[in-house]
Amino acid sequence: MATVTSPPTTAPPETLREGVTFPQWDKIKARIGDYLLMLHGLLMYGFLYLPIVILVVFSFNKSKFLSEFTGFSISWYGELLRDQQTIIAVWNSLFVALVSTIISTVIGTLAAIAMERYTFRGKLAMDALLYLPVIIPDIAMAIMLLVFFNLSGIGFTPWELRIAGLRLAVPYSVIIAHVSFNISFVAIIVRARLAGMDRTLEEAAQDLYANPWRTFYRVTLPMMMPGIIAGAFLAFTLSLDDFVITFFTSGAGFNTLTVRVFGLVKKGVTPKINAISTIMLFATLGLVALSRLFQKGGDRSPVELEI
Amino acid sequence: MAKVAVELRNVSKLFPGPGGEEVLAVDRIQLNIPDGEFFSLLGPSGCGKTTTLRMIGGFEMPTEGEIYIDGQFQGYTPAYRRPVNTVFQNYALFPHMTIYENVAFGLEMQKVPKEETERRVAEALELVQMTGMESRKPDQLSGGQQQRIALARALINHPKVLLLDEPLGALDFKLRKAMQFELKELQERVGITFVYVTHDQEEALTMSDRIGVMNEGLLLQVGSAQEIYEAPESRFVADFIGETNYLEGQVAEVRENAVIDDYQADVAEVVVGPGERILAISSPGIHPGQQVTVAFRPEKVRINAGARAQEANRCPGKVTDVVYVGSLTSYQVRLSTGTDVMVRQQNTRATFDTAFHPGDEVTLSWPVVGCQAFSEDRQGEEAVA
Amino acid sequence: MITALRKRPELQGWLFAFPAAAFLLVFFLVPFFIVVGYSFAERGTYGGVVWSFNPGNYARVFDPLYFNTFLRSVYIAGATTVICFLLGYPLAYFIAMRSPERRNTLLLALMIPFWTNFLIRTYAWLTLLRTNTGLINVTLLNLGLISEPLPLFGNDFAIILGLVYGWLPDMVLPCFAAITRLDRSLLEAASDLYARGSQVFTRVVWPLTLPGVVAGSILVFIPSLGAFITPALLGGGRSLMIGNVINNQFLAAHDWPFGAALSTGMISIMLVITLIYFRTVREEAS
Repeated sequence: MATVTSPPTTAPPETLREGVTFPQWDKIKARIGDYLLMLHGLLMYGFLYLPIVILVVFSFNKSKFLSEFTGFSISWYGELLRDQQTIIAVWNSLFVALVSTIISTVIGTLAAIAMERYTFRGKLAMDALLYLPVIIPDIAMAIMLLVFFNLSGIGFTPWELRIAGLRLAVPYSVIIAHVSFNISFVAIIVRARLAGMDRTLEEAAQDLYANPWRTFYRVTLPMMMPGIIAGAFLAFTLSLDDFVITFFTSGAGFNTLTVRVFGLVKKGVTPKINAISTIMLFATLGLVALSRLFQKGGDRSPVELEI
Repeated sequence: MAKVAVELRNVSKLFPGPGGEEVLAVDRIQLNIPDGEFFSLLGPSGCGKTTTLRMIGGFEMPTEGEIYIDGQFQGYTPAYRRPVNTVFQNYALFPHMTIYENVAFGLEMQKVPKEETERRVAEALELVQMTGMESRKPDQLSGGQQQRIALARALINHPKVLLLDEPLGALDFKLRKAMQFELKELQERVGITFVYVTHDQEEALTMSDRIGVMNEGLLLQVGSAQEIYEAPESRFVADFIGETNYLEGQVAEVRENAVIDDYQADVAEVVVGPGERILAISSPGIHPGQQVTVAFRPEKVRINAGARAQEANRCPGKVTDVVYVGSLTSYQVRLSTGTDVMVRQQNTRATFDTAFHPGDEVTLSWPVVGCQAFSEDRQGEEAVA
Repeated sequence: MITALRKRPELQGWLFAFPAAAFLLVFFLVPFFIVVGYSFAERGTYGGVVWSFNPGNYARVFDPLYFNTFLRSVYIAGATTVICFLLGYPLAYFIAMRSPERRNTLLLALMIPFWTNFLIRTYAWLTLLRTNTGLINVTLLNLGLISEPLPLFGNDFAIILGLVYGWLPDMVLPCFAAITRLDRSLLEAASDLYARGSQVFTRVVWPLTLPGVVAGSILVFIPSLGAFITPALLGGGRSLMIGNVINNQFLAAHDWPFGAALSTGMISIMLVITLIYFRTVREEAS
């Protein structure tokens, strides 16, 4: 048997910086590294939150300039409440978001099931088709739809519907546009959820006399639900958030909140815009908090919820 | 008359492999499992035992052959139409349902009315000693508890056959031992046929009425624990269960229907070395002149000093290694034939020094019954149960 | 029909995929090809479109005026990506080194600004960066730290800052995923084999987290290249990127064919980059 020299349990003491022994110096370096990293982290979070904090703070500014905080006032919020156009824009945003979310969630979920559970000819093409809207930048998608609606004669003027005495303007062009990009996002999220699902559960259901449809309804679908909700939430957020595509596909005079804000910014910067922004910020946060409460069953980290 | 619960006739399963080639996972299995038996499929990973189980359950369809459950041909009947239930390896409890809903699921699918369901769920939970857990969720239960619920969920449907796919694999040692005992007792009480898949030979030996040993898709041997252990019919089976010693040699003579120690069988006389002849129980097909392997278990071997011997087969040797393992002492002995043989001796008395030491000249002896001879190409023959 | 569906799972797959396929075909692929078609058309006298096969639009893309904008967009997108990496990777590392509970809180904290409206966030930077009325400059002037306002607005700096701010999470998250997937025992093994801290990083951590960095880079570069809002708000009308140019062609200059050509060109580049990325990922996987 060959003799084996056992290696030293600590690193060999080669010549190092004069006067400082190996383990001590390395420990110091590690410590410094740790602190620097933490400092960087803190600075980064500061960087991320700075504009938002300023935004909120200045929504309460007395003067209409944003260069100095002169005093506390909620007058801008008051002005908002009287701003008909903005309120209509809010309603429009919500309406478009709701409708497009419902449609894209259904279509996207079906697509996710198809992609994750079946093989069929043309699956690769379908995969590519689903990924394209994610890759293409807003502006490109916006002009694509602009050109399409224009050329095909579909147009941009919202349909006027009368329901129970209320006049409803359905901006179908915007809704179609939003569904267009949301299908892919929903599909990606639901697909991820499906892929991570335990397949033996479906076999167990079948073992217990559930035919394929009942298996789907009682086992697969409930287990997919957190993914579907996450997808729906993302679609809703993206829809509310969207500017460029909405801008290009809106008919004349039709505003969503983002389009309205853009218009206001062009006119002039005032704390009123800050007020709108603050409200939007807290509304989004509220929605997120709500969706997290719904998610209490699964312990998914935020990383998995994002694309 | 004992009914046959499960019958497999010439069942094979071919899978398309990754590189385009096909994998024969199950190779022409013939198997009869009588009603009420605890039958285990035992073998290493990838031997096809789980695939076989899944074919009985209806999760895979055989490429060839027929499967009969309770006398009924199954054909392409899917799992949800078979009178068979499964306990999955990972339990597969529905995480979004309560224990009650989990256990009642099969009844719900069969549209059993509510009062009857409630009664049967209570019974099932009591059977596995999990009463009171109805409103919990699976993730609130420990592994052992989940396992019992999986059992209840399956048994509540009174299936003709219960399939168990390595259900105790995820449990720790102590719990596993306890559950083996419970499962066996449960099966005896309920009387349902169990088909149990495992790679743990001790588990199979402990629990089963009969064991089917599989390797590489083939069913090599079917028999009771004793038959499998004491009379393995192939090298693989001898190897897979327990520990075995092997001697190679040539058959000098086969005596048919010899009587040895109240046991009647064909006995082969095998020349294993110059002047050394061993008598072993012969397998069908063995004839004089053939090269065979003789197998015998370490605990059957007696070790004596000098030239003394107690059993019919004897061979001198020298002790090369001694290991004291508490309840027994293990000796490694180099025989005069050049082969190393292991001897296990129970320490029936307090041992502060082993009986033999390395270098001692000893004679090993072992009985004929329990000493098997088989030819190398015994692998290719299926067992008919 | 139900039995037919059960016998042919392929049919079921098609059934589920149909709504999405149909919708995207009509409202995505068709518009896409119409735009490609437009890019070969000619601008009519009053801003309409004359259909013809005219590759002249693409030639115009290479006109120095537009090509420079294109190059600048690549430069800005590239700078954004690099800065996002330099800032984001250490941040991802920092978060990854915390305890699991802390990690989730930190990630949540990271995402909260991201969940606000992009327009709003860009607007916030506008109020901060403006030369004469922006908060930063005014505060610094008032504090006497500077005598002249800093040029923080209406230039590449502002745009890059806005883009970094907007797309940082897209770099941090993939890097974070890659870092947390690291097997800690690998780091210990390296130390056991006498590697110092920096060597452990360069020889073990970096190569193994590289895929995450690449993924993050793609996720930052591509949207940055097609940015529109950020340069519109923070560029002060002077700094333009391709997105703005395309916008102009459609809304101001009414030269739709040319805008289409610009857009198609931009998309092609992005598709090529994405394809290269998927190819390399697949090669590594096999």
